[in-house]
Amino acid sequence: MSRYPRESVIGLAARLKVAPAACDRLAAGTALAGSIERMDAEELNRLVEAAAGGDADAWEMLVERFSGLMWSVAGSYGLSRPDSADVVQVTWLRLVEHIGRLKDPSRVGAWLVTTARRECLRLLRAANREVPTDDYTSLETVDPGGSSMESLVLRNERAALVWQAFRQLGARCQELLRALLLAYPVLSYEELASALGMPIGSIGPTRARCLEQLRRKLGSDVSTTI
Amino acid sequence: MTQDNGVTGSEQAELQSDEDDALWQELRMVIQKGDPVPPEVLQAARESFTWRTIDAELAALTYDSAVDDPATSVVRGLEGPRMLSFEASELSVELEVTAVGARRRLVGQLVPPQPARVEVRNRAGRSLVQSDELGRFRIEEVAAGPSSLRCHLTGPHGTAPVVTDWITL
Repeated sequence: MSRYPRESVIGLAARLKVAPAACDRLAAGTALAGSIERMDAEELNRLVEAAAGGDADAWEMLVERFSGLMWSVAGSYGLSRPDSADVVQVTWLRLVEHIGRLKDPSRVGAWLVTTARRECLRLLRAANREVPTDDYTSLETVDPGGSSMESLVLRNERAALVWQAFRQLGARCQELLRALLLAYPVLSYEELASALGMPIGSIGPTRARCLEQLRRKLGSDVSTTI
Repeated sequence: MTQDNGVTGSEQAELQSDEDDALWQELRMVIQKGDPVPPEVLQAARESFTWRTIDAELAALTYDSAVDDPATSVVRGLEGPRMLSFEASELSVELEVTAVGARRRLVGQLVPPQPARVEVRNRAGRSLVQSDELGRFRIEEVAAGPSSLRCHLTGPHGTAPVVTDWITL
């Protein structure tokens, strides 16, 4: 699903002084942040500056780059799809007003995740749902009208099992694993840590613990289905 | 796992065990395929840019009872109003939001008190009211969802318009 003719991307890249190597990836137009390599701070600075100056193409590149990550943050809190959509939209709208005032434009990704996260927490509190505080808190998956799982093309049984097991993990685990899978290396570990509100040193161990939980769930699922 | 807490991101990524790696790659595929951003969400994100204002001063959100005061919001549940404060250099906006079914009632106060045209901006459109001499205003039947206020100051304090941070009503 190519979003941009490559030529226009190159033109834009030249205007914004984005590395030419990034053009093909941008032309491919994937919305999944994980498939795009990390832009260096200078490139992000230029994008943010251009968008702040009214450049809609630069804005669009930011949207392409970070929407997947934000959607995923909302998803890891078990929000319904309409709520998740509101979280993503209000976060972008906030950036519209703040884009010329960011202290460090190169950290716009972390700013977006932090803002989206705060909005998720507000929605959870407003709904009087319990806000998870540790890895083991299981947040009920809100899934009215079928989110991802059913509507999707996960014909592959194994993929379905992995997805199911993943959705049973605590919200913190889901959030961290999604963030690592989708955001890194778009965000640095340091940015991830600050956006997720956890010490950088605990990312590795927590990731290992969450993966271990996932493996255990998969193990028990397999043994009961065989 | 032999991960050391002090390693850098790229080093850390390389330190995964093989077994982890297989599951990790599998999970990456499942998550990417399993939960893509819906096209309408991307579209809304693109269109957000059309709300850009260049002539207005931003009144930043400084207090939101739904976030900053969880104890209160739990006690009040969904019944009580949500209190919000926005601050710009020369104006603050205090806002009380009450849910009335799927709609919202906004009762606001401009500080310093002054008459102004107050406009709600959201995806349902715009609605405009006038604040009184004491800076009070009330807007009924506002659609839920991401919204922002734009205040056109008309009194002696009148300067550039002020827009508030976007919030989800």
